[in-house]
Amino acid sequence: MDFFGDEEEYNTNVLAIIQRNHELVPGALCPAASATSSPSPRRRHRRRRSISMAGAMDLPAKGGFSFDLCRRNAMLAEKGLKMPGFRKTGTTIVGLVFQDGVVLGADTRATEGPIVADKNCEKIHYMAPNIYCCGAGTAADTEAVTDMVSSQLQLHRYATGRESRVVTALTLLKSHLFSYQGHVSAALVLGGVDVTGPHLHTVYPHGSTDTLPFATMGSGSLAAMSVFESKYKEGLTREEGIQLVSDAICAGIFNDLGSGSNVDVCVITKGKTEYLRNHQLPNPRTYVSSKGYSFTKGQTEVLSTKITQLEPKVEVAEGDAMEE
Amino acid sequence: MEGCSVPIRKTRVYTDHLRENLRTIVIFTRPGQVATSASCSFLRGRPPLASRVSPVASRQSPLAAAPLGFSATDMDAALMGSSSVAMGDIPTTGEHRMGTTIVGVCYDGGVVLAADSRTSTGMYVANRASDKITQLTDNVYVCRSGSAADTQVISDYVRYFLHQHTIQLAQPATVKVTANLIRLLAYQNKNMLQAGMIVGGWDKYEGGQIFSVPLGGTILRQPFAIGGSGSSYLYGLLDHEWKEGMSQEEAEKFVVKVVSLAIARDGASGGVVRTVTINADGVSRKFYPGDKLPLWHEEIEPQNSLLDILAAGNPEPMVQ
Repeated sequence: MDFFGDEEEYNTNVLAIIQRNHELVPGALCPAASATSSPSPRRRHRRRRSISMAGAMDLPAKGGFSFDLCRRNAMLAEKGLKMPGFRKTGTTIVGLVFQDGVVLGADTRATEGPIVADKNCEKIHYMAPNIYCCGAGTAADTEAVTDMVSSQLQLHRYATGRESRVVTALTLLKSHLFSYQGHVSAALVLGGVDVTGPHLHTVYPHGSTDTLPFATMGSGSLAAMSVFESKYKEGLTREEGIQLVSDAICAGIFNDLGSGSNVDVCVITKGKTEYLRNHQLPNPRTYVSSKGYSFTKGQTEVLSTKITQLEPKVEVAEGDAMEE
Repeated sequence: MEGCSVPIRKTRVYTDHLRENLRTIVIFTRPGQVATSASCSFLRGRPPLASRVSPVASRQSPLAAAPLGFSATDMDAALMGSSSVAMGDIPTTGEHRMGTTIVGVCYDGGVVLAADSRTSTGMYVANRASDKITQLTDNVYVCRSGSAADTQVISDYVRYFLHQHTIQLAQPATVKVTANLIRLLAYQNKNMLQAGMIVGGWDKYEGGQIFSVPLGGTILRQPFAIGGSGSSYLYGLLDHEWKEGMSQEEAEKFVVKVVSLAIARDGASGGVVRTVTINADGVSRKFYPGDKLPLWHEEIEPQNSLLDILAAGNPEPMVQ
C-alpha cells in the first residue's frame, strides 16, 4: 500500500490506521514503535508530526461502564429515532421482619407499556437458600443482577464453606448497581436470615441501600406502604406476617394499574425457607369453558398452496456422490 | 425506640414502629492484597454530572445548568431540578436524595453531630427513619447529605481505607486523616458526585474536631458546621447562638433545637433527630422521636390520627 501521496492524504490515512490500531492495541500509539522501514528523513518527520497529533487523543478509559453509546443514543433520539421499550414490571414488592424471620411478597404482573405481558410471572428471585430478593424495574435487569449475585454467593459458599450472609448479597448488589449509575434499573427488596439474624434491605437503582423493619418498592409501593404504616408492629407471628404482606400486595394489585394478578409470598426463617407461589389468587379467570377448547382438524380452509425451494438442487455430474 | 409514635407534624400522619439496625459492610480482599488509592476505581468511566440525570433524554437536564458551588442553595436548586426529571413513571425510580439537615458542633471536650432522618425520591419519602450519621472508625463519624448512593459509597471506601490505616499504624486514625480521605474522594471525583459531608470526631492529638467537606471537595475546619437543604434556615441562628466552650448537655440540647427548627421550615427534612456525641470517654448515640421535639411557630401538637382531631370537636382539623 502506498501512503506517501500528498501530505494531507497521508495524514488522514495514518490517522485512520492509528485509530484502528488504537482500538485494538492502546500501546500502539508510541511514536518510536511505529516508525517503520526506511522512509526519507522528511517523510519520517511528517509521520512523526501526524503521529504526535494522534497521540494527543484521549486513551479509552480502562474498565467501568462506557457511556459512548448513551451519547450516540441521545444524538439519535434527538434526530427522531424511537428506541424500542424494555419490559418494565410495574410492580408491588414488599418485605417485613417478623418474630422469627422475614416475609417477602410480590404481585405477578409483567407489563410492556399498557399491555400485560405476563399474568403470572415470578418476581421473588432466589439468591441463596437463606436469602431471596424481590425485583422491580426492568425485568431483564432484575433477573440478570439477581442471577449474577446469586452465582457469586454460591462460589463464595464453595470457597468458605459457610452460609451466605445478607450483607454480602447487599454489598455485591449495591456495588454493581452503583458502577452502572442507575442505568441498570433494578429496585430490590432483599431479605434473608443468616447467622446474625433476620435482615431486610431495600436497594435502589443508583446503588443506595436502606435497612428497615418493613419495606415496599415498585409502582405499587405507596399503596402497600399505607397498609404497612397502619398495621405493622414489632413481633408479628408467622401467620400475621404472611397476612400483612398479602394485604399489602393486594393493596398494590387493586389500586395500582402496574400491578395485578396473584400474590407470591416467601417466608424465610432460621434453617427453613418456604416459597409460597401463588399464595393468593384474587383474580381468577371469570369464564372458562367447562368443555375446554378443542378444534377438529381441517377447520381452516386452504385457499392456495405454493412451495418454494429454499436450496437449489445440485446434481452431481461426475464422480462419486459420496466424495463430497 | 421501640414502638414509639411519631404523629402529625405539619400535616402528616405517622405511626412509627421503626427500629434501628446496625449495618455491617463486608469488603473482600485476597490475602496479601493491599488497597491503595489507585485501586479506588469506583467511578471510572462515569460521565460528568451534566449528562448523568438522563443521558438518553434529548431535553437538557436542569442539573446541567446548576452551578457546582458549595452553598446549600446551589445544591437545593440541583436537587429540585433533578427530582422532576429523574422521576420516571414509578415514583421510587428517581435517584435517592437526602434533602437533609446535618449539624456538627464542637463543645468543651468533644463534638456533637446531629441529623434528621428523611430520605426522599422526588416527592416521596423513601425512608423516614434513615441514619445519616455513619461510623467510619471507633472515634470518627460522618454526617451525609446529597445523593444517598454517592455518600454511602464514599463512606464505605473511607471506612475500608481507615481500617487498613489503623492496622498499619497500630493506633486510631486521626480526625484530620479521615476528613482528608473524604476530601480526596470528593475532590478527585467532584464532577461525578453529589456529596456534602460533615466529619466529626475526637483524637488524642487535637481533641474534638469538626471538618466540613462541602460539594466542591474543599475541606474546612470549623468550630461548628451545618449542611444540607435545611441549613439555609440556620446560618443566622448559629452565628447568633453558637458559643465557644459549651458543656456537653448544652451542645446536645443546642443541636436538637437547631435540627428541629430546620425540620419545621424545610420540607425536605423531617422524621426524627439523631445525635452522636464523641469525646475522650467514647461515643454515645441519642434518638429524639418526632413527637418529642420542641414545637416551633405555628406547629400543632402531635396527633396519632386525623380522627383524633375530628373527635376533639374541630370539624376542620387543618384550619388554624
